[in-house]
Amino acid sequence: MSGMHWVGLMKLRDLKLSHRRLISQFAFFLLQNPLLLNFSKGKIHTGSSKMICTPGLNCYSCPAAVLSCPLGSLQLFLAGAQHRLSLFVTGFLLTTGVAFGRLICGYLCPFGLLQDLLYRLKTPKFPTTLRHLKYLKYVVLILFVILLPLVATHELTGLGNPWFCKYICPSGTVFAALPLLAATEGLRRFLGLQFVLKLSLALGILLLATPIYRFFCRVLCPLGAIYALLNPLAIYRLRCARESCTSCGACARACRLGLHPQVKANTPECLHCGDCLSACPQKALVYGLRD
Amino acid sequence: MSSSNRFTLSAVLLVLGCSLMLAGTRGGELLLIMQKAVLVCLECIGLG
Repeated sequence: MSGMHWVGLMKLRDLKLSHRRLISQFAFFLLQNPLLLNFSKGKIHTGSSKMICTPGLNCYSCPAAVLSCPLGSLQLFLAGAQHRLSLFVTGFLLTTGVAFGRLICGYLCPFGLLQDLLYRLKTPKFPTTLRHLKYLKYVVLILFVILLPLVATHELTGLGNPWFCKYICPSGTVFAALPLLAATEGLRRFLGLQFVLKLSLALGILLLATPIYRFFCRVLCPLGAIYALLNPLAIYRLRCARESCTSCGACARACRLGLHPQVKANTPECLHCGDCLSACPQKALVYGLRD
Repeated sequence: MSSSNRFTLSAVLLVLGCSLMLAGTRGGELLLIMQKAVLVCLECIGLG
């Protein structure tokens, strides 16, 4: 590696963790959505790269996307003629979830990036643990991603619908519907109640993301629910070095999700925002492969 | 759960995940995913 690259890497390491995370989020956004010019053209990518899923919530109808959404792909098989679970998508979610857990939510998800940017707006903030609401994402996963596409089928064709994409997914509305409708006059003729409802839901979610940190990820995201289940098992994980920790509680006070990393790191709700790492005076919280 | 048990379980799940991906790929699932993803998904944009 050339000297200039080393200097670049050293400078990157010197940045605050929150800035490094933001750079990573933008980099992954561009990696998943490099065809930015397609936004103005109102067309989507049709190349073979769309065989591969992305680990984050990234609609495959986003004009800039070159990869497929794992939730859309999962529902495609469940709602399809055979009504079965996709082995590839299930394996993909299991592999990425076990490898990284919700680090994907924190560092890689494009919709997570949008919410992080909204939370940076200078508005009143409401730190809340969302104690009971956090379970709603599991209901959305079971009901809208698995059961309804499987069971609620058309009586003639026998095909189901991708219920989560159709009625809830704000990523599809923001990154796919709005740019496509803005650029394609033909599509605008089909606008109806369903779009109005979906747009209202997306706007509501984005409004709530401004005062409440990552509202959608914590309350509604079914992909977040899958990664939340696997987060405690993640191989690359956050851990608290007991020998360094003085139990001062600085990490818990810094956590916007109301978690206590010094007691238990890598809980299902941890989005790996890194606030606790930055707050720890002893640098007792570290990432690694083992506990 | 102890650290080593957790690590073993994670490793088993990782192998299971990779095996499922391989089985899905062999079953031609990637082509079906691509066929869906290259067309504008009307449901995703709230028109379907």
